[in-house]
Amino acid sequence: MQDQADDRTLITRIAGQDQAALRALLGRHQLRVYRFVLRIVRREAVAEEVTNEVFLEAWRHAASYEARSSVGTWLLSIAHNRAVSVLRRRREEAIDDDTASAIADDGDDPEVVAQKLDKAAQMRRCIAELSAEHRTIIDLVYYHEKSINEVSEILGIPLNTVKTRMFYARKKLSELLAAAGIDRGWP
Amino acid sequence: MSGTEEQLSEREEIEMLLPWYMTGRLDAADTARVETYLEQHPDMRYQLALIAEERATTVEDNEAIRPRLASADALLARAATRGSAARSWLAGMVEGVKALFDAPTPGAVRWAAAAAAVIICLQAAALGTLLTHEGGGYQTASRPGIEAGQTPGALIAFTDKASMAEISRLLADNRMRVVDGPLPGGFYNVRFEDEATGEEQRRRFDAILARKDLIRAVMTGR
Repeated sequence: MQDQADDRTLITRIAGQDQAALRALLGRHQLRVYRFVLRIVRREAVAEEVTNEVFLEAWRHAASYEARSSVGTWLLSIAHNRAVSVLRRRREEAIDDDTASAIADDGDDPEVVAQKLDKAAQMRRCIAELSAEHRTIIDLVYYHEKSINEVSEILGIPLNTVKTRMFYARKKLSELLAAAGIDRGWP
Repeated sequence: MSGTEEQLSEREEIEMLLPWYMTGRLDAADTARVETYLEQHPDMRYQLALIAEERATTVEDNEAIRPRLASADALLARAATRGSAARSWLAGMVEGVKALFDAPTPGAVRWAAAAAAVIICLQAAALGTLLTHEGGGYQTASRPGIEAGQTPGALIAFTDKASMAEISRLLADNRMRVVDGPLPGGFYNVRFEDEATGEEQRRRFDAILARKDLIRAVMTGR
């Protein structure tokens, strides 16, 4: 709660063009926003650019922040809108190099195969294979620890859709793991 | 609806809430609902182990990301650059206003011309900002001190060589103070500290404008 109060103070100061407050806001939120964006757009350079845009928007429009949600949620909401716009412009989501390299092929040497059999690595690969919508909600819930209401606000979807989307994201993840030979006993 | 269907529905509903139960982000009512269900259906606890696994991997994935991020200075420089396209017109016009002050014409004519030019500058600033932000994907911009109604004294830009001590002395000598800035373009919103008459204001502005070593540009609003 104290952090949220501090964040709101920072936004008030930023609305008055206080540069020190922007530095403090970056220190608190920049890395999390970047990670959130990168997991959606999957391109480091694009994620950096989108993250910069998020904080530029915060700098310019801090006065419009209405404190209905936490500053972190507000920033992620801006980040989500911008990241989704980037994806739409890109039209189709390409699998990045890291993901592509993790998909097994006949040319893999035994060491790589062993690595890929590791459950955590498989889990990582399967999460990467989820749709952007499913990856995003998993990140928001597990990493950013957002509540149902906060996810609803960030993604702009109804509360029930938040719950069902998370449920189906988990279900899809289990299906991908099962296809990779890891049966979790659910669904 | 049969009892079995109701039971399945409740089970699915609880399953949907479990991720937030694990992260401690459920409200009190839903938390109690989940805990009651788990007590009655211990087999559901298996889901918690799966969720813990998913969560651990997600957190590790995110924390493995170590980017090089832009500094606040770089962002602020970009914020200033974003506005520069619009204000490049403005800068030219401001120099024009300053030239009016410098021109060897009668004082009254210079002030009348300057006032007209200031109005044009403010209109250009508003139009220029709109154009820039449409191109850059922004809807509005915060431009304190630029709007006509918020320009109580003048907008002044100082030269790079001007030290804080020199600026402070110049403003103090002419009973003026900075109330806002730096604004885009390096301007400061400067206000008279007293109720100076029009003639006295002109005298003080002339004194300020005479310091070409310290003053880069001046734009008066009233």
